[in-house]
Amino acid sequence: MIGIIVAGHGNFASEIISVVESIMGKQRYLEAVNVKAGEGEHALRSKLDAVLNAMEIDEAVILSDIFGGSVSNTCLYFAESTKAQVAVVTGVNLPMVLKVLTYRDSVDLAELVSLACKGGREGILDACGWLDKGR
Amino acid sequence: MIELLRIDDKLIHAQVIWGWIRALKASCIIVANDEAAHDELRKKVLIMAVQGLGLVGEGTQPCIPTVRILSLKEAVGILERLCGSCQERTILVVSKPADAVFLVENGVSIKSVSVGWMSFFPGKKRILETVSVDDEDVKAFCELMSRGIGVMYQASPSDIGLDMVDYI
Repeated sequence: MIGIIVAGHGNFASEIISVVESIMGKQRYLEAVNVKAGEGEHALRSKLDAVLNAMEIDEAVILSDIFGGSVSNTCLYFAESTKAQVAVVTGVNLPMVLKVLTYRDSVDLAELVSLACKGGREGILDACGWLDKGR
Repeated sequence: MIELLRIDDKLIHAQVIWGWIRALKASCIIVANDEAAHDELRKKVLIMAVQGLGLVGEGTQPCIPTVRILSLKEAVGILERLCGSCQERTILVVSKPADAVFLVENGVSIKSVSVGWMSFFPGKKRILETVSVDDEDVKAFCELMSRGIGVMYQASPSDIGLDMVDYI
């Protein structure tokens, strides 16, 4: 199974996971990494390391909050340096997490990354416009 | 076949779409609810919520279930015909236990009932995280149980079901 780590500023990551688990039930190998104000790159790297080690799996996707932000940047350094196969997808949203949890058993890491991007994008809709079209 | 009768006053929402439809590989969802059946906007939104599954969940499950939003009476008529030979894997959703009793009393054959959401409002008592009941609800649950129908609380398919008899 491919591990999923959601990483973000504040409590964003643990909150999104708590909502996801209220929708899909408790999930294995799904962990949050929260970065609090004042915590630097080192703290985040240690947390990612600890979470990945605890999962005891060789493949993981980190879904981080925003491209170019310090959390995403540190996740990238981490992914490039760790022994495990780790991919990073930025701009995490609820549809993205639901998508990866649904498919992580049936696809490989590269495909899961592309499904994450696709799921995240496709969850963004002009909902009123969509409703009008369907009328 | 009715794979699941769910009591859920949100009717169709993320838990149903991402949890139950997938877990049961449902090909049909029937919402039996008098208010929704007469509310064109609500019908449209509920149907689109499931069609959204195609946008956010195609791939290993390319089939989007068909959705029918019916009044309780219409549902009875259709379910009677469906239950016999139908191959559809159906999820039936009602908003309250009394509606489940109505279906059963009118000949819809159900072995068990799964309780998801029954929202709190003044006059109801909260008995589980997502379940609040009043006297009418408790009476309806007892009626279902007295007919040998198991009533379980199970919000998501991966949750362990709790027997409602211990909570009402």
